[in-house]
This record gives sequence, C-alpha cells and structure tokens, in this order.
Amino acid sequence: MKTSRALAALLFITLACALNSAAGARAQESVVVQSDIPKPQAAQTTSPQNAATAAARADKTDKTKRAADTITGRVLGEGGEPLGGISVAAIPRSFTPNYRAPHTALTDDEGGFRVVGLEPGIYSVSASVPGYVTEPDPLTGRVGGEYKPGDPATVRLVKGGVITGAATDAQGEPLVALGVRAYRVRDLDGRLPPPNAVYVGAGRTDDRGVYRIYGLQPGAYVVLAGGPSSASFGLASPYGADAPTFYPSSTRDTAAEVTVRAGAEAAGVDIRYRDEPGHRVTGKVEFQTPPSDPTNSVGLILSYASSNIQAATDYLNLSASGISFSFEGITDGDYDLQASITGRDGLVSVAPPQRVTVRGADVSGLRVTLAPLASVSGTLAVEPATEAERARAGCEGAHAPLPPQETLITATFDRAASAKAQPAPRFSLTREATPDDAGAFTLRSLEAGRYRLSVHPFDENLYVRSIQLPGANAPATPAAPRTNIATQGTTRAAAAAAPPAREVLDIRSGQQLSGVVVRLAEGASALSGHVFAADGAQAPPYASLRVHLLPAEREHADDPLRFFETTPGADGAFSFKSLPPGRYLLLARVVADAHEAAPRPAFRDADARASLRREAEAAGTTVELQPCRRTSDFALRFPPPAPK
Amino acid sequence: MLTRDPSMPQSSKAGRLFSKVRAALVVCAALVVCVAAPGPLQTFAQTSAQREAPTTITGRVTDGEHGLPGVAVVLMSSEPTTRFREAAHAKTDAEGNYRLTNVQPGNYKLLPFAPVYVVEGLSMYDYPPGKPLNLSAGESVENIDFRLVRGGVVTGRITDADGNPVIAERVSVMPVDKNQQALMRGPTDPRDYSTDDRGVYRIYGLPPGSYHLSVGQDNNGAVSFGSRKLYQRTFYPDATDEAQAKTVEVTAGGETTDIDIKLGAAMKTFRASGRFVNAETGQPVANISYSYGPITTDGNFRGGFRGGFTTNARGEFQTDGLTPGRYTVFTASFPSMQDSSEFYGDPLNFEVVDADVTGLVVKLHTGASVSGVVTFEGVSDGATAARLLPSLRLYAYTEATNQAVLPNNASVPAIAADGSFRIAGLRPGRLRFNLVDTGAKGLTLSRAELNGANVTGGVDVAEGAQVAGLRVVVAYGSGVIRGQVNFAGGELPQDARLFVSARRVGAGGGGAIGPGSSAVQADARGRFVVHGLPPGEYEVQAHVMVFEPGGRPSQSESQHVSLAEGGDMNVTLTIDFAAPAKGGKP
Repeated sequence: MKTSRALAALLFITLACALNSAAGARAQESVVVQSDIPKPQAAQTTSPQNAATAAARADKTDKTKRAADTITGRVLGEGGEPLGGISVAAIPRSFTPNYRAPHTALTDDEGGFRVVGLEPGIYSVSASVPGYVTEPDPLTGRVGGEYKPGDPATVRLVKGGVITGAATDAQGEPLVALGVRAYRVRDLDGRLPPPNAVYVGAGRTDDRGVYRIYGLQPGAYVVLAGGPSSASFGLASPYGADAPTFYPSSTRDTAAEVTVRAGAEAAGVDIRYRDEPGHRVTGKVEFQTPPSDPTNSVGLILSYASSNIQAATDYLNLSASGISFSFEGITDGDYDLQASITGRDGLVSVAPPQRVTVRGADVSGLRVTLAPLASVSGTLAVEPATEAERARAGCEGAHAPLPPQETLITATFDRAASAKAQPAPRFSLTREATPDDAGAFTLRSLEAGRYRLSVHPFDENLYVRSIQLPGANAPATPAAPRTNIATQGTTRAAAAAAPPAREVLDIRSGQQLSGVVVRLAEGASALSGHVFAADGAQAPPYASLRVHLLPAEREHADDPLRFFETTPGADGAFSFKSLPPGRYLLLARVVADAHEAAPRPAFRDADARASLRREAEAAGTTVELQPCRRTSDFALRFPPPAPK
Repeated sequence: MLTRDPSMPQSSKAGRLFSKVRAALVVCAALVVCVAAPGPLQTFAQTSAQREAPTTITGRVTDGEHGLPGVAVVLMSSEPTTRFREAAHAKTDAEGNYRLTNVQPGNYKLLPFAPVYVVEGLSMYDYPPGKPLNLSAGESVENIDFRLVRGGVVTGRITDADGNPVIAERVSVMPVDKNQQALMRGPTDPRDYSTDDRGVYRIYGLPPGSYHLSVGQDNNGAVSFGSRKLYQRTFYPDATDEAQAKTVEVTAGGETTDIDIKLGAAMKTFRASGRFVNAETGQPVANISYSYGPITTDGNFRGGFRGGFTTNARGEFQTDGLTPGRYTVFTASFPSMQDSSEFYGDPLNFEVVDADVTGLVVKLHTGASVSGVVTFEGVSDGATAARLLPSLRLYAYTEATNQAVLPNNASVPAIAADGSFRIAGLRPGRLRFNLVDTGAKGLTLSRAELNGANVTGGVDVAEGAQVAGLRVVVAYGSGVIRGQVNFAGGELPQDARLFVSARRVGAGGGGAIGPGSSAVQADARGRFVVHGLPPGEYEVQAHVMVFEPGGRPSQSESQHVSLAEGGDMNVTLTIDFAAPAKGGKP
C-alpha cells in the first residue's frame, strides 16, 4: 500500500515536472517571438533617435532636479495615444550574475509611469504586451533604449502583424497540429537583421489546418512548416523527421517572402506540405578545456547558411555520458552549426560556427569543439576638473559626479579583421559592461578575435580622455607605445599626456585580460546640426549618408578617441555629444554600409584615419568646440564644396 | 529545446522568463530527486549485436468499428537522455493497420498521432503520452491496437470589460463529469488553449461530454508576469461564481461555437518590498537569492512562483504584480544553479489586500555546514571515476521534524575534481542525500558514512555545526534486471499502471523508492527492463497503481536476485488480483 502510494507520488511529480519543463520551454519560445536582444551598436556611432532622446534628456536634466532613482515616462500607442494599465519594466542593460528583480511600474490613464527605487546604472525600459511589439531602433535593432535614472523615457507599442493561412497535404486535406514558424529575414526597409537577432513567430495548425501567427515585428518573413523544430515540447509528432516545407511549397532556396506590416494581417499564406523525409546530421561535442560546471548544458543550433533561420536545435545534458548530438529532418543544402554553453555568468563557451553541407545523404561524424570564452576587465576613473580648470574653460559650477555605473563600455567585434579565423555568423557582435560602484568592469563572453572598445558616459559633461590597455595585449604595430597598468597611479597631468588610446584588442580564446584603464574627463562639448543641400542641388540622400567628426589639430590627428561618426536622421539632423573640446573637421559622405547594424568605423586604423582626414581637409569644414559648450544648428553642406 | 540565442543577455522578458524557467527547474529538481528513484538510467547505448536485432511492432488503429487509414503512429523514446525523441513512425493503411520496422531495443511510448481524436485508455497520468513499450532485441510485437473516439470542437472569443479582445489568454476546460479525465486528448499544445490576437480560441479533439470553460486567476493570489493583465476567474458566459457557470456540451465530431466569455476589469496588482537581514547582527544581507509566490490560506505552497532574484547591496528585495492574496518570500538556494549561501531563514508570509506592502523584514541565520567527499564503488580505475564524476550530482536537503521537505533548504553542491564538496547555509535538522537523475548510466547511491558510522538515512546537523568528513559512496554498475510480470485472478485494469522496483539490499534508504532503488514502468505485456545496476543483492517487486478513486493497488511477492557485475538477470513476477491487498515491504 505504502509503496504504491509512494510510487503514485513519484509518477505525479515526474508528470508535474515534465509539464513544468514544458512550460519552461514555452517560456523560452515566447522570448524569441518578441525578441529584444540587444543589437550590435558602435557606441561612437549615435543614431538620430538616440541623439534626439539625448537632447530631450539634456533639456530635462537642465530644467528639473534629477530624481536619482527614478525613470519617468509614457507608454504610447501607434497614433501617439496614451496607453494605461500597462506594466513597464526597467531592466539593467548589462549582465550581472546576481540577477535583480526588474523594477516595474504601471502606467496611469495618461500612459505615464514612474519606475522608482533604481540603483545607478544603465537600463532598458520596455513593456511586453501580448500581441504588441516595440519597434526596434531602425539602425541598431535595439528595443528598450538606454536610460539612466533621472532620464525620461518613451515606450511605443504597436500592434504586431499577423501571418495566417492553411496547411494541406498533396491531396488538399488539412494537416492538423503542424508546427508553423515565421522568420524575419529583412525589415521593411530591406535591412538584414544583425546576426544575433532572431525575430520568429510560431503557431500550429488547428483541426481545419488553419494557423495564425501574431505579434510579429514588421518586416519580410519566410514561413516554414514541419521539420525538426516544429514539434511541441514533449508531444509526439510525425512531422519532426520531415524536411520543412517553406511557403508556398518550397525549399529554403525558393521560399517566397511574406511582407508583414504593423497591425496588418497577411492572409492566405497557404502551405502545400511536401512531406519529404530529411536527412540526419550527427556528431559529437568536444571540449578544449573541460567544462567547469557539469550542471551546464550544451545548446546546438543548425541554421541555414548565413542566416538566422534555425533548421534544428539540440540540447545536451553535459552530465549524461555520451555527448552525441543529432539533428533530423535536414534537407539538402548548406548550414552553419554552432554550439554554446551558458552558465551562471552568461555564455561561457562556444564552438566557432562550422559549415555543414548536406547532399542527398545523412552526415555523421561531425566534431564540434567548444572553446572557453575570454573576458576583459578594468577600471573606469572619472576625473573631475579642478576649480581653476573650470574657470579657465569657462565651465560653470561643479556637476554632481557621474556614478561609474552609468557608463556603458562596449567591445565590438571587428568582423573584417577577424574574418579569416572566425567565419560569420557569430553569437553576438558586441558585449557590454557597466562598471560597479568602484569603477570595476568586466566584459564577458568574448569570442576570440579583434575587438574595438568604446565608452559611452551617460553624462554629456564627460568625455573619454584615454583608454589604456595592458601593453602586451595591444595589437603589435611597430610604433605602438607601450603602456602599462602602473600609469594608473600617476598624476592627472601624466595621464593627460599619456599616449593616445589603444582601443583595439586582439583576444585569444579563454583569455582573461585585466588592467584596462578608462579615464573620463569633465568639460565635454556637444555638437548638433543638419546636413543641407548645396545650392541648387537635390536633397541629400540622407539614408545613405554618414557624418564624420575628426580632429583638426595635428597633435590629435591619430587619436581614435577624437573620431566620431553618426548616421543623420531622415531630415538630415545629426548630433554628437561627450566630445573632447578642440578643433574638428566635419564631413558628410555617402557610405555603402549606412544601414549596417554595426558598421566598421571609418576611423578603424591609422591608414583609414589618415585617408578620412585628407578627405575632410579637402572639404574644409571646421568647427571649434569649447569646453562645456553645446554647439547647435551647425549647417553642414552636402556634397561638400569642391576643393579650391 | 533551444529556441533562443544562447548569448542573449538579460532583457526584460529574457530575465523574467529565465527566472521562471529556473524556478520550474528547481521545483522539478527538488521534487524529483527527493522522492524519485534514480530511475531507468540506461541510454541508447547498444551493442553491435543489439543493433543487428531490431524489432517490429504491428497493430491496428480503429474508431471502434472501422480501421482508420492514414493515421501516423509515433514511437517516442522514454529513456531519460532521449526522452520525447521520435524513434520511428508509420502511417496506417486502408484497413487501419500499421507496421513499425527496424526499431532498436529500448523503452518507448507508442501513440497514434490523431489530434482530432481521443485515444481510449490513456489519461493525463501517461506522460509522455502513449502506451509504454519495453522492447528486447529481436522480438516482434503484435496487436498493439488503439481505439480512437472522435473528439469535439469548442470555440469562442474572450473580451475584456471594454469589449476588446484578450490576447494570449489561456482557456481552462474542466470536465463536469470527473470520469472524463480518464480520456486523453490527442497531442496537445498550450497554444491550442490560448486566445489569438482577436481573442479567439479554438480547442479541438476534446472528449465528448460536459464542460465548464473559464479564463483568469483564482481569487487568492497570483503573480503577473511581464505586462500581462490578470483577470478574476470568469466562467462562460460571464460568471465569477462557478455555480453560475453555464455547462458547455461537446459532442463527438461536433463543433460548439460562440462560447464567448466576457471578463470584468483587470485585477489590480501590488508590490511588496523589504529587506533580508542577518538575525544576529541586524545587518542587511546583499546578494541573497530569493523567491516569492502565492500560498494557500493554510500556508501551503501553490504554483506560480517567481525566483532567482538577488537582493541588492542594501539587502533589499521587491516583488511586483501581486494580486490580493497570501504570499510568501524566502531565500532559496537553487539546486540546478549551484547557488550557495551561508544563510538560511524561514519563509516570511504576508498578505496583499488593497495596497503595496513595504518594510517586510526576512531574518536570516548563519547556517551549519557539511563537507565531505564522494567516492565510487565498482570502479577500479581513476580514469573511469574521472569520467563519471562530472555526471554525478548529489542532492542534499534538510528534512523538517514533521517529515516535510522544506522548499528553501535543498542544495546540489559543486563537486570538485577530487570528489570533495561542501554544503553551507544549512538549517538544523536531518540532512538527507540522494543523487539527481541526470540521465547518466549506472549510478546509484550506495551509502553515506561519517566517522565510520552509517548515515545513509541522514546526518543530524545541529545549529551552526561544522560537520566534516562525510563520505558518500556511489555505486556504479552496468547490470540489468529484466523480466515479465504475469497476472493471476484477473486482468490489469485499464486505468491502472504497472511499475517494477529493484531495491539493492543494504543500500540507500531501504525503500522501494528513494536512494538505492530503481523503479521503471512495465508495458502492457508486463515486460520491464532496469538498466545500470551495480552488482549486489536485489529485491524485485511489481506494483499496480490505480489513480482513480476507489481503485485498489496491489503488488507481487518480492523476488530476491543476486546480480553479478555487468550481469543480466531475468525475473518473472506474478500479481495475484485475487489475493488480499498486502502492505508489502516499506
């Protein structure tokens, strides 16, 4: 009796757990449906939207006393109408192993909210309402923005798009409980999504064969039915070993795209299911160094080559002996295979993407080697100006010091420089960190390759004076002046005279680099203006322009911390902030990668800087930026006048 | 299933859902390991001889009278490491016959994929859904037949107080006649029960019968996730009292339409906040992991917990999205995350009425610690031990005096390469051990020793004690006990399930379940296989479990089996339904 009851309890609990796990899997899935994965962003490339926000922020900061622990704002609908009763969350932007509960607030009838009790830091502010989406920043793809406590925030929610249709077999009979997924392959302006941004919606056909996927970000989608990722967690499905059928009745190569607009329905996206068996792709996972935590699991993703469309996934429990992976339902074609381990500190190991080609047969014997990820740590120092300096610079009284937590430090992967060793796609092109209250920061989960460090203080009075790397780890160039951590304790004068920043890092697999020193200085300038057409010329092609700001002074000619670039808004407006005072050259020019999510900066190396400088000198537009001064309404002509 | 970018940092949903997933995992880990046996540990490891001897499965799918053509019959693995994976599928022919060939030996679940039908004889207790089938090499299995009943459809629209559609809201479908629970829907998906962007839901494959349909939260505390609005549970058409609910009739092959539910205003939600402090010093405790969730009026835990958050530098915690009701907040170490803390504390219960709750103070005490080492028996070389160690997870929990498992005192300590571990933050009480079922082969908890004494049943830990020198011995084995359960004096009732336990004499806790014992489900033919057993003396027993009220459990006599290292023993057990129910060995 007793035993039986105990066994019943066992079964019950196993059942409950299986269901719980299923809930977990669903939860993860919905994460993807409305992904707000931070997108790559070069911190010295400011988008017009951010710039506009920054300007608004600056006004607000000046006029009202800053509430140091509060973000206030409004939630607005598509037509700007206020949305009440919506829960808004402020989520710290950078990863910490100690996960704090998100601070939330409900909007009032005017759509207004106040998120209170925030510690110093950088936050994204968002609302997740079923069926609605927050449009990502058109340039960065990022949702939720970047705010520090005291900033005003605006969250815009629009009704997501819908794709609906029916799935039938070759005889025209409806297919029931068939998984259907929609992957966004482009936004409405034709831009490709950044490598780590997966916007996917999922649905399932009902008893009539009808599916309906809603809450989709606007964009162009491919729709696929069946295949290995179509089965629901824990449920038998005869479709799992099939090759997926892409709308209308195609393979990946011939898939038709479906355009989805906010709040609109793309109906009649009917799929004639091909019912073709796929192949099996199998292999084993290996480790460059044994995983430190056996409780971790290895996630494997097989995606269609050079895309974010997942063909199949597998998940290996590291504890179980035998680390073999297997994908079924794989049709002929090229794929990228990636593997990763996520631990308590985030992503801890990855396997470089590996091209897998399937041609008419199963593929076996693959080896995926996971290598530990690197980290870069250092300190951020904010150097307040002395009274004498303020007086000399004409700056007004002392500002409240910026908490170190309110600087965003970003390492951006340099695709071109690392491409030979590390083929795309990658897990993420950027990693971010915010320092702790003592200024210490750690950029984690870095894959091997070349990175560019950028520093974004959320205080327009501050600019980046220097970035110092431990000398041995800076890329070797003959003229590279060696700096070391010992300079950390030197005087401010010495620091100011320190060699120009080496913001480029070559990272080895598993490296734990420390000793980076970032110095911020007070007295920053700001510059904003418009690009305007030369007399009689057509309106400039704003969408493919980039505005460059570069040092005019000889002594700073090759200082990458004095090079800035931004993409102007639709009306030609541009804005730069947190600039070191000095004389600058300004140049607007047409670039090919104006809408890439993480373009390589035009000032990426000494040659590029010299070339850009020659072009800007020929154009001949200069501006003198005074400490603590905001220069606005600067009119920048495009195309620049012909050199004399 | 990995459906998101694994590199995704904490974004709003990611963070919240991550913690939700975390919490779900924890609940699983906590519950399964404390009561479950290590379970069937064999993976799909097969010898070449086995590979050469695949099996064939045949049967028929009917609607009771006629064969159903074109129905896919799916064989899914029920082995721990490959659970839910499809092993084979075949479609029925014009007469409803199916034939699965080339199937490897192993433990499976078999199910016709016919979502608009109801499969007779399966219930919610069969998870993963299907008939168990434990296959030996080379055997052919015939007449695994399924009888399907055409299900019905119910559809309608859910609107809020303003008449707007309620999106992604789950509809609850409760049979008014409890006997219907014995019927199992076809493969289901939670989305099938949820409204779309128009507020429309459509549920199909429902067993014919009478139902109450409702939407919303029960009126005693719930936690809102994200920006989701919560509504008071409302029955079709607009009743918050189930007594006023209109019954919905679902007929075989029929469609019941316009079952629209009108909800009232969204429930108000509130926030509760406070601090975790050191009870001895009164100082706030930073970076303490905590969870919170609703409790019943008598203080028992209910579902819907959120957790995995940590206190800030000022020891502060906060909880959001609480509807009026009773809640608890507590520090919890998360076994699956290997969190560790030097503190323990009792859960703090609080009530949300009509306002935010502030100033809660949760007191923490410095806990005791236990350290020791894991060693293997049945492993001769260091290389094998080094290979096995990473797959080993020890689970330790403190049992309260009333035998209850405290939700906030379970730990899965990190085990170092030399086998050493330390568990801290323990409350006083009896610390018990087991192994987490990681799906790894052949590991069984054998015994625990402390200074020469056998403490397999647990170590009594005093307040603040520092216990060192614990030795946890884990047996490794590759032996197999397989066999056949026969029935006398009757048939296995349709709503009954058959299990077989193999308890290693002198090991673990001494029960048919729990440490030192393995339990597996036998299939309808009475076949069972227990894999991964260390050599030793075993008591093998079959148990019939009946889930429906009034059902009578029964069990076989216990059989003694001597298992040599790597042995493969065959056992025949008989359950006599005519015999009076026995207590059996505890």
